[in-house]
Amino acid sequence: MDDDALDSTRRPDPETRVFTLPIDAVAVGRYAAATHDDNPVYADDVAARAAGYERAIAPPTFVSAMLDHSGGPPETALRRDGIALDTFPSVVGPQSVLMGGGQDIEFLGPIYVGDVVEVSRSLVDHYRRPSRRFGELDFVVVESQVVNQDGVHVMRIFDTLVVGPLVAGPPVVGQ
Amino acid sequence: MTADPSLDRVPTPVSLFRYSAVTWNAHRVHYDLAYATTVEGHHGLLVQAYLLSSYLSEMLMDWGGPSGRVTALSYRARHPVYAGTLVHCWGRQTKVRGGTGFREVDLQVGVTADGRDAVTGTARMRLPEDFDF
Repeated sequence: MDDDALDSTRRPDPETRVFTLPIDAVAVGRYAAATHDDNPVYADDVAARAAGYERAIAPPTFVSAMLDHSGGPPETALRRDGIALDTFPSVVGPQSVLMGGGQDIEFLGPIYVGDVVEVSRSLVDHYRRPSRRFGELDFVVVESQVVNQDGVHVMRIFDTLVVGPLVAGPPVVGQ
Repeated sequence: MTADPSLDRVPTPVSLFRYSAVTWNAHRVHYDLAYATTVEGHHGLLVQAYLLSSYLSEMLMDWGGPSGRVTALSYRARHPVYAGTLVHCWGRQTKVRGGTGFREVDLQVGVTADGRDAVTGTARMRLPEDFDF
C-alpha cells in the first residue's frame, strides 16, 4: 500500500464542514430525469399532497448522492481524477484511487422542493482491511447530518469511501 | 398480492453524464472512457454506486405506492458496473412488524449485473396498514 493513498497516522478530523444546499426544483427535475424516474411526487404538488406530503419532494437519495455541496474549485485545482481536492477528508491522499463503497442512510423526514438544508459532514472513521481482489485497501467513513430550514433533522448518512493505492498515470491536474 | 419489488435499467453514457452533472460529481471514471480504462483500469465507463442506490430507492418508492415511505437504505458496492449493462434491482421482504395504522417492513435489496451481485444491502419501509402484501 502506497503511503500516499491514505495517511493512517492521521486521526479523524475534529472539524465538521457545513454546507447549505437549496433543494431547487430544476435540480430535482434533472435528477429524476437522469435516473428515468417519472414519479410525479417529485414535480407535482397535487400528486405529492395526494400521497400525504405537504408539496413536491426531492427523491430520497437526492441529497445523499451529492458528491460535493460546494460551488467547486477551478478545474486547475482538481485532482487528476477530476474530484476536488477538498471533497474528502485530508487523510485521503491527492493521487489515490477512489471508489464509492456504500452508504447507510436514514430518511428521517421528507425533504421538500424549496427547502434549504444544512449538511454537516465529518470524518468519523478510517481503517485498513484486506480485500479479495485488490490486496489491502483503506476505507474512510464520512457522516453527514442533514437539517432543514426549520431545524428538523431529516437525514443521516454514513458514506464509506474505498481508497486505493497510487497508480501510474498523468500528473494531478494543476500540479 | 403485491409481488416483491424489482426494477430493470440500462444506464447509458448519457445517463452517467447527466447524473454526474446534477450531483456535481466530476470523477472522470464516469464520463472519460480513456481515463477510466487506461489510468484506473476499468472495462468501460463506471456506473456511479450512487446511481445504483437511486435505482433501488425508485424501486422501493414504486413498490410502496403513494403512501409508502422509505425510512432506511444501506448498501455496499461489491462489483463494478459499466455503462450499457442491464442492471436488475430486486428486493425481498424479510420481516414485517405491525404498528398503529402502519406496517414496518424490512427487505434485503440488491443490484445484479452481468450475473454478479454488484450491490447488496437492506432497506426499511413504512407502509399503510392495508398494504396488499
